Amino acid sequence: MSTDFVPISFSRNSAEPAVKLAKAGDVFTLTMTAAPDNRFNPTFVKSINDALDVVEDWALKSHRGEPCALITTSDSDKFYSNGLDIVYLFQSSDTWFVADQFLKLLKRMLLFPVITVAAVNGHAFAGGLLFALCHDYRILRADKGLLSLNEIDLPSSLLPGMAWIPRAKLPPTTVHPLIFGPKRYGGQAAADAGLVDAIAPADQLLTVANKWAEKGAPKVAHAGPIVSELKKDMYADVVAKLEIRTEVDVRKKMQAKM
Amino acid sequence: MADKTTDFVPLSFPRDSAKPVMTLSKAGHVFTLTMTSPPDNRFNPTFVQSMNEALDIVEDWALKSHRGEPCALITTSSNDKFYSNGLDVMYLFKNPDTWFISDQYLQLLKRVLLFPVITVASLNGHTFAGGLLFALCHDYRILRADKGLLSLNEIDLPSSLHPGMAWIARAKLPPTTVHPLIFEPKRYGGQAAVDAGLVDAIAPADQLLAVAHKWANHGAPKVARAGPIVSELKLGTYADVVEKLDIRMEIDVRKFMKPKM
Repeated sequence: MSTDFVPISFSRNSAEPAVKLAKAGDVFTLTMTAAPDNRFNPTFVKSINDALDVVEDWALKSHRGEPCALITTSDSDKFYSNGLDIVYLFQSSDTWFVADQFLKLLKRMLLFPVITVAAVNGHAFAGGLLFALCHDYRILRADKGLLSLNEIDLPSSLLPGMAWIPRAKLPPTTVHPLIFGPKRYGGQAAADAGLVDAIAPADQLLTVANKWAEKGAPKVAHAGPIVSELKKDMYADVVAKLEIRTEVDVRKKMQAKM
Repeated sequence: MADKTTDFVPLSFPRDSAKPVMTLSKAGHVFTLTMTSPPDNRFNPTFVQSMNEALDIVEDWALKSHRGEPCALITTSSNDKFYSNGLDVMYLFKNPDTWFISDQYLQLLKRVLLFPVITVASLNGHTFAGGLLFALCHDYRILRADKGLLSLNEIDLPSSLHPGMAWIARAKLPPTTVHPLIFEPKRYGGQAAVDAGLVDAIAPADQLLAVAHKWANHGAPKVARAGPIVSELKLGTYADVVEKLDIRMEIDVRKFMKPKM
């Protein structure tokens, strides 16, 4: 696996980076490293965006015309991502974080100019599952790791864009139990329900993810910015709803949980 | 077994009617609304009004008088042959009630789609046309294993589908089911109905209500914990269906249908 790219971590120069970006062959791997469970807060979102900027620049500018794809994964054995950083939202009065940073990141992933593969090596809950659903493909660890949209139990409603990602990406027979059960899916059941494209044993997860990524890497080489345009055409309704700006004060809606 | 204790005296609707079209009872956390309108539980103003009154009671219980307690709703029929055969076309033929569909029937569909507690349709008989749309607006559907077909037979009446009616099928069913359902029209029963995504499970006739209770009991804690957020989540998930159900259209069935007994 040759590489022409020196790994970087984000935030740059941080002693505890939230995200690492590496490259092997045509495939970038973005590893989420924000202990304990990769929750979305401003630092995490900025770090992911900085990493995505590097990949986007590579694929569309500095190495335009070359194959390129992106895997996301986590360095935590237990979690891919547990969703929004509720404690942060409770402690700050950052009522526009969800609309202006989190949803915007979901939209960016949904429309990303290269093929994206989520190597879901642990639990993907709530906002973490929505993030994974915004990828082109999802590979799930076969033995461990559950997928769930547990907003109804927090309890929390879903912003229009958040509700529309499952509506657009999942079979109706999965959408309803996922949101209202809330049903948790793992292993083959997750593949049968259309939540993931394949499962793989833990020690083969990244290899399988790389296989899917390598298969998609030529798309941007050939199509350039049209990959993103196609994603926008296919998911125009999701994009429109993700762009709806809603102020969200979690203190009004939820009890803080650690 | 479902908890049989009850803190609710059964009611029938219309209240004080010698021939009620609906009864409401409760066992444990679960209300059961039984449609009792012979011969086949068709939707007309009395039926819709009775259902709304029963739903008012459940809604008040769950969100006000017993807020914070588990609560769920099963709907079923007292009729061995039909869950519901849809709109009361005879009524619509005899009366110039051209706003009934938009203002009463579709608004009832919307109400059930957004209902604040988890709802389970216990399909103990045929569920056709407007009756199937009503069932599809529930959270879950359990179908009798040995008898009872599901069908959207508008194309054979012939009748078009109001935008909201078509969109319930689009939003709730796999595309590979939607098209045959509407255009053959394909009839689904038993395991085929489960495989097609029309119902969540099937059960032998003598176990149907017990299975429906199991699903209802599983969903009952949702409103206890989330209160009005259950309804908000339903609105967020099915915003497109709601928008179409709210489209008001004057519909005169005499212009395009022949009455059938």
